Amino acid sequence: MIYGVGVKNKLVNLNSKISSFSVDAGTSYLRTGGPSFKSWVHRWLFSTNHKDIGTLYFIFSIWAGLMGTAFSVIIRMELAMPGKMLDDGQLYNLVVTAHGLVMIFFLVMPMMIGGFGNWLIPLMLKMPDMAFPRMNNLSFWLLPVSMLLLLGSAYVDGGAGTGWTVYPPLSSIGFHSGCAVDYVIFSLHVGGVSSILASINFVITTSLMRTGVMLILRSSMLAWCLGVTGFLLIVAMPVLAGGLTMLLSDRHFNTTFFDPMGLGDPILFIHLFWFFGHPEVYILILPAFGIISHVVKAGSSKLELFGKVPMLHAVTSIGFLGFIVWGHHMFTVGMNVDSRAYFSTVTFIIAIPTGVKVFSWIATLAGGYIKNWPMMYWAGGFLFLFTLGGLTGIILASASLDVVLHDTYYVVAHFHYVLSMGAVFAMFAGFHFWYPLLTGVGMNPLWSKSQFFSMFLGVNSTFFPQHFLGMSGMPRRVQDYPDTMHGFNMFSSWGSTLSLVSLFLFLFILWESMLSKRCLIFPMVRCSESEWGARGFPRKFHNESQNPYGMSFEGKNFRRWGVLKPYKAKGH
Amino acid sequence: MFFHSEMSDMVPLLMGLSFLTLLHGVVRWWMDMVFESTFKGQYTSFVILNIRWGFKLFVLSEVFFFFSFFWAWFYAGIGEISVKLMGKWPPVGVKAIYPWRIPFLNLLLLVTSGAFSQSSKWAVKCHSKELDVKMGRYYQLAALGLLLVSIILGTLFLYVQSQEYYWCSYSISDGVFGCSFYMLTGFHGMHVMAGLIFLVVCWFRILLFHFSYRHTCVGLLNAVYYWHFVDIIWIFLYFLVYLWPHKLLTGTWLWTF
Repeated sequence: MIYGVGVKNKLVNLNSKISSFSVDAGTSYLRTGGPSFKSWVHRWLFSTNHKDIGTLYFIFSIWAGLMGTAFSVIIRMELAMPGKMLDDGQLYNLVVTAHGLVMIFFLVMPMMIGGFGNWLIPLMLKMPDMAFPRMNNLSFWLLPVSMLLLLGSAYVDGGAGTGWTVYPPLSSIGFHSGCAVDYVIFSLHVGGVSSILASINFVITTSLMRTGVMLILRSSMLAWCLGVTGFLLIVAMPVLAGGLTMLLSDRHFNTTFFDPMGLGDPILFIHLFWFFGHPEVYILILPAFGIISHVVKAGSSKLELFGKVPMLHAVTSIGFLGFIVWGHHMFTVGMNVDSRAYFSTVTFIIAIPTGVKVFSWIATLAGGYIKNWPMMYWAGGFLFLFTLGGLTGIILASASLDVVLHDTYYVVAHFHYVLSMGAVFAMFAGFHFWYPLLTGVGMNPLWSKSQFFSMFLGVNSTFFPQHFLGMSGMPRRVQDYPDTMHGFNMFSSWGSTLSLVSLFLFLFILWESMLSKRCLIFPMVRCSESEWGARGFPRKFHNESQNPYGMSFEGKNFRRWGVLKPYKAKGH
Repeated sequence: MFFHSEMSDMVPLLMGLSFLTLLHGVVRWWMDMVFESTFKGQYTSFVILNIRWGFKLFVLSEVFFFFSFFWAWFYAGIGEISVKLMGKWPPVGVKAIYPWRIPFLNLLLLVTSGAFSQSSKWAVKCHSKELDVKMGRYYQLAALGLLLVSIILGTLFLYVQSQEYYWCSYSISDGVFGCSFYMLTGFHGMHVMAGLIFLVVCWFRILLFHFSYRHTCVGLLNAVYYWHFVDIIWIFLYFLVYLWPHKLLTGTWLWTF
């Protein structure tokens, strides 16, 4: 990218009426005759603009990510030395629970779906805005409510120390007799409503709002991935809501869904939770796949992704297969051996479309001019480390091996490889790629690359030793461990400190970029990235007010407005 | 806990306040939608298509919400504990409701109600396309009458179901049978209430000519779609929750249904 020297007035956004670092405020100023409290409220509280709502999601998720990291550092501090650091085991369990819930529901999902999705889908598919702009805003503002409820749970009645999976009977009224678990349940209910509404928005936008010539197989990868993610959310989230409602009624309304005294069964909750939980982890990773597809394509200076249509089908099959594998989280509950064999088999099968995608990304890189941009470092890291995480997942998919490794640190290592190094690396890659689009300024590339190496070293140091800990039998969610496991735990905790410092470096880089205002002049990405096709960055407040007119030539036919016609040359 | 502390007197007040705030938000949201569509005419056919399919996706999410409760019902009914340890569904001591009286009446009520709401939808479509004022008014009155019957039948369903709850021999605390039964039928009843409110609002909108003269009746279309969804859930409930346990009063298993 080519940047210009920072100036007080915006260098490139000729449409902006404001000289400070902000985009054109749309019609708010027109209605109120200038900047005022009312126009601020209209712009940021009552927004219906996909870019503003995307920005809100980014700010929220970055803040939540820092909070989740803080929780993880407390966990690693506890586990750095043998013996107890925190006197209270319940507090440790609470921190473990909060770490999981915050990272999943308030970092990864809002940033990928709300942040990247809201900003980029209308730009990539060339639409005025999302399908339901007002509902978009509602989906965002439900999230701070959900987070407040979750954080509130920590302050009441000893907190919820149940793990993010909230299994009864630990989460039932007998063992968590305060109202903390109820706060968690309500937090997940509100978050679920937010996600379902946002997903309806995304599925309708990506499937119904495209202009005629933008055929569904011509959608960008991110749009397709987010459409499939939205569908997964619509189907899976209500099942979690149902399970949580049953838990709530068990706790307060004398039902016995999960209590054997009334012929109930805690395993029912496990089934319901993981029927949601497995699609949930695909919801976390599919947008990352979309982001990486874009980053790899742009970073290899290619016009098209290798095998885009097979990639689209791979995403759809991963989404569909994700619904029928939930049992691989339950291999040790006493399931039928035939069921365990089935779940193992289907879990192995999911590796096939995932492999199609990884090989296609590598093939996209082949023969291209690989740009020396920070985003490519993150993308390369993703490709290698996500594959490693996937391989450990294959090991866990085997029911027999899982009986030994279930609820050990091997599982923790596996999902942190695919999440902390899969999803998070993809988020960093996308953030570094699209940051100039969002803000019009650039982050220092040299510092960004060093931050990558520092973070890479940090997360690998944190999670690689956990494979060995798991294989030697260290259980999950424990506050203390046998002294022989001290070495790897200490190494892992040093890694988490390094990751924390890398995050501080990232925050500094972010701050410096806003301070120095190296404005973007030439994006230097090829013409096949439609979100970059604009005359100035950050993008204007509004896009075109209608879908664009389009024509495409398809062999001997041409398509106009989406209607296919045979091509007849005139005048001959 | 808050409910047992010194501040517990404020609980009803706080609940009432938050409920009113929620109600206000909900009413203003849909009021805005009515203003944008009927009075400002901002809903193009494109927007209407999006709203109809968006609503269908919302109903899909509701379907999966009920799916989780049906899962619980079957898990208890044919799962490990029933078959291996008890071998009887309903559990010993629980007397299943005889399905061919009240539940069947409810089935007929809802199915008929669905048929009437569908007819009112057709009448409104004619009403909105009709250019002659007198014929248009005739279609409007027909739609109002049909939809009123549909609403009355729905309200009757709720009354009959409430009576059945009152007279039922088992409660929500009666083991997993009782809690699954009441959660399923209870959530269904809540959805019937929501659907009825939606239909009543549509009734008043037809009365006020919101759907006349080429205005698309997407509100009514969504309401009737939701009403059909509620009806289909009741059909599933009838077969799986009322008919199945009754057949097993003698203690025979599912596959000898």
